[in-house]
Amino acid sequence: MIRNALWPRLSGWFWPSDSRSPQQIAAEVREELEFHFSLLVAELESTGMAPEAAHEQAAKKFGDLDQYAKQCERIDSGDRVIIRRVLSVACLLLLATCGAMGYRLWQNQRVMAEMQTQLLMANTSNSQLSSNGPSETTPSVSWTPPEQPNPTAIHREMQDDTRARRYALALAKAEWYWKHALEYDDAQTGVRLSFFLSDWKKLAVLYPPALDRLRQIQEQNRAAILSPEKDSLSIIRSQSFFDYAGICESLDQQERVVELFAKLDQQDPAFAKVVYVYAEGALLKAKKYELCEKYLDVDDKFPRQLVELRVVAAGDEAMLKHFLRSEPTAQQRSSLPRLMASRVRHDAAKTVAIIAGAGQEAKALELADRAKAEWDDAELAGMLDAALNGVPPVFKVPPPR
Amino acid sequence: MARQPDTPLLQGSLDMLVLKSLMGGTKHGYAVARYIHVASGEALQIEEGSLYPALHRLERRGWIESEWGVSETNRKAKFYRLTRQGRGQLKVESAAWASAIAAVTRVLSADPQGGAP
Repeated sequence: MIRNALWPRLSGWFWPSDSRSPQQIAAEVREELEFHFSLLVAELESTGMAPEAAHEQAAKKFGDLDQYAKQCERIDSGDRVIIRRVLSVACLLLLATCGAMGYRLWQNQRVMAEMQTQLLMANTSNSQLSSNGPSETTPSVSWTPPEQPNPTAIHREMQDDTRARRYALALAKAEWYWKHALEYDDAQTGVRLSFFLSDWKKLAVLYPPALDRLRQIQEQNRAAILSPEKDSLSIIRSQSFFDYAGICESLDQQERVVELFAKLDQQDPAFAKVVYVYAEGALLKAKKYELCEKYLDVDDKFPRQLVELRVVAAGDEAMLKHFLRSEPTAQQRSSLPRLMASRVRHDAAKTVAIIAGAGQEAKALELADRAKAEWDDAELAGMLDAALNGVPPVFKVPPPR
Repeated sequence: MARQPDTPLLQGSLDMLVLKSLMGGTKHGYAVARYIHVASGEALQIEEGSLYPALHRLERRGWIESEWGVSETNRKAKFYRLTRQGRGQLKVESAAWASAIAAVTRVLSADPQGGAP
């Protein structure tokens, strides 16, 4: 067997010891010397010497048997013992080194595991904060708005602070803008839910507390929508939904808008009707046509959409006169006609898409025909046909001329 | 005055004599001592205190090997045998010895008055 052939060689190489025990070596050496001594005695006896005298003579000639025996024992096992001791010490040192390294490795792994656990706990805590309504614990920085704050200027400062890595300051200004911009400038409505939220998201990527704060605001709005205070005005609740939808869109969470609207549909249909306009985009994206159709009020909306189509078809002047109460500026004259044309096409096609999607194909076909009759426009016709085939329109801001 | 027959061994010659004694076959320690004594014309007497350490040392070096057997008197005895390395070592030591003897002989035969021959 290989083990039988190999093992003795290996063990002999790694552990070069006499296979005999020290006691066996001593016994064999003594036996060998005593044999020699007995032959000496016999040799003397053969010369006619009396046994006792021969023994005495032999002992005298032989010398110190014990001393010779010890000499031989040392030779047989002496350096092997040294080698064995050196090897033993080396093995012990090796074991101690391995043990120390293993202990250190184990300690490092423990530290790593603890760090991972802490990170995991931190992440879990963060996700719980986002889903269960977190407390307001974002880092704060001392910043006071000017006496006459300009929301646009503060928005710009927030962008500059983000670029300059003054993140806490940028967040403080973002929070002020979000809360107060509309108090100072109604025109910020669109900017606030589009460009401004986009800037906040950029800040959040670089500075996680900004994301936490945005999520806190999102949850606060949701709570205000679902459990309004008794004396809360409907318009404030509507604004909360508007803000909530805007934040969800900026966080790519439009499914949360759909979920909240479906909940309102069950709990408070009257309020759902008020905020439907803010949820419509998310509902269409989720193809919730029946829910849309329930709140669209097509008989009221579609005639007005037809009027707008007719106005746009009549030309720029008529359109500007219809949509603007004052004399148009040069910029409005340049950009508004195309923007409004795009919008009215989108609105009409959207209505047709909802009705068709809700299973009312005949009515959808009729609405599409009526829209085409108002404005002989190839782009509009294409969008209406797509809507009839289940493809809702996507509103696109026309590029500048 | 030199003692007869207990002529002292020259330094380093014991190993060579032991190896030589085993050229004729296996022997136990007593037989080795007897062989050297007889072969030297009873001029050399190996002391046991030198013989056995030498045997064990040579065995450790691999020049001889041993095994237990039964002696001519029917007693358990340890027998030694020359190994291949031992034969080579004997040649080396014999040559060195002859060279040393020749050198010593040349010194002894030189005329101290006339300088080196």
